[in-house]
Amino acid sequence: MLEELPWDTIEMICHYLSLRDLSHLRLVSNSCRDIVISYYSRMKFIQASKLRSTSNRTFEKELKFVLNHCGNLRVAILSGCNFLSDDVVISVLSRNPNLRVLDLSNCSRLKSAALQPLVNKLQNLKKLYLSKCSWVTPGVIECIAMKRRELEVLDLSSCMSSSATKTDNGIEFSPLRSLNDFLLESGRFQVPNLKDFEKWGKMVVQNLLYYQTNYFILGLVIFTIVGVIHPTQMFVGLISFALVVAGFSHASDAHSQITSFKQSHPLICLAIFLAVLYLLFQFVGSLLVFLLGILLPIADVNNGFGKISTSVRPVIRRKEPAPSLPNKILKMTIKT
Amino acid sequence: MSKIIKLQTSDGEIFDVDVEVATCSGLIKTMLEVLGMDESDKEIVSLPNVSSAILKKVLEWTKYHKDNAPPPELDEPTDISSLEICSWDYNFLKVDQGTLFEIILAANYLDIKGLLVVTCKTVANMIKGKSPENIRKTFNIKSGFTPA
Repeated sequence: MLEELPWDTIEMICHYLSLRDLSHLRLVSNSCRDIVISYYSRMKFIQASKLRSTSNRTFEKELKFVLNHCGNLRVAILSGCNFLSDDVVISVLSRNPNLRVLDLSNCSRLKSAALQPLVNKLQNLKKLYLSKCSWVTPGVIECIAMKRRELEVLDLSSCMSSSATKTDNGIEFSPLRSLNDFLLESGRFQVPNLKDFEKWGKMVVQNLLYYQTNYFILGLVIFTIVGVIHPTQMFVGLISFALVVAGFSHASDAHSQITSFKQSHPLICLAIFLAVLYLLFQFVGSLLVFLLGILLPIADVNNGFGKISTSVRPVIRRKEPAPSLPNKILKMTIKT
Repeated sequence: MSKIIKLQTSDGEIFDVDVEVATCSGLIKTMLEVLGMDESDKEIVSLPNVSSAILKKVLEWTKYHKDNAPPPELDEPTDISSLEICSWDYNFLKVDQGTLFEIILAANYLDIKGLLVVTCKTVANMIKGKSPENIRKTFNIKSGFTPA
């Protein structure tokens, strides 16, 4: 029957069949199997969900069989196939260099290595959907951004929730950049353009975000160094500073009481104020050491903002703060 | 009155067909374009791959659909609804499998896109949603399957 028809018409018939019907047809006879397998190898479109059947194991087995025979895919929608492993995806991507649309949303078992062929081979990829792929690391995104500049759509929604280093408070730190990147070879220094404050500010902010971990560590180091040089003064300064802060926050908390007290006993208030001032001056040396310790790193960061000592040394910043994503990416959805 | 073209089938029968109807076939259209109308007017176009019974069916279909635009190219993925065919075609293709397959072959040979699509859809409908065993029954295939 079918095998007597010319290939074009067989292909057309198969085109009208769903993947599930094809998997049934494959089991009909040997010649049907050959027909279906050669159709798989020419097939341009695959949507895994069309194959989903009653049992998950049959679905898994069948999809792997189909994927192993595909060689001419343009569109591969494999969302929700959480059983897919790296080697399956790698081999599919390597054998289908003409892929234009790839959807791997919700494929949770993959690792970032699965996208290796994507970066190297898929020259024609236009749309890439990776939502809910917690295995996607910032490194992978950077790599994609560098190599696949012709991408038009890159969906990374709900990707980064567990990939970036995450603390309990939900604060994320960007990865530590290498010293070479931060200060030495690739870092470029230049005198800031004082006329274009807006552009300058943007660059500084991007610089801060890109190197936030570096700046944080630098701050800690300076704080520790000052602490080692003047330990006692640092300690006393810390205590007095904490007292002042605590006093202020208490005063603002119990605002109404303080104001009424101030109104009824102005002399006592003045005395307390003078006493606090005296104490502050008494400890001014220690306080200054502490402030030096805490402000020096901040000053270093502020340096970038140009508020402090811009004339002392050139501002640290790069022309391109972070590798920019392809200009052509139209839709970028990064939700954390 | 429009021009007439003579078509000879494999069993020797000669059909007089309106050029307008005949040119639904890509094969005949190209033939006429290459040879020119005047010449083909006198000569008989022989179609050695098509029997008269099948050509009758094909001509019936082309007469009914001669004003319809050819179907779009198959490039985009299709959904299930695209398997629907119009009721006239459905009744027209209520034939035995042998005839259906011969119509497919003729449509393919004569290059009639619309008829090819409709017949292929019909075959796909015969396979759709069936278990391998039922497909075997439908097409009368002996179960000689050795799993790979």
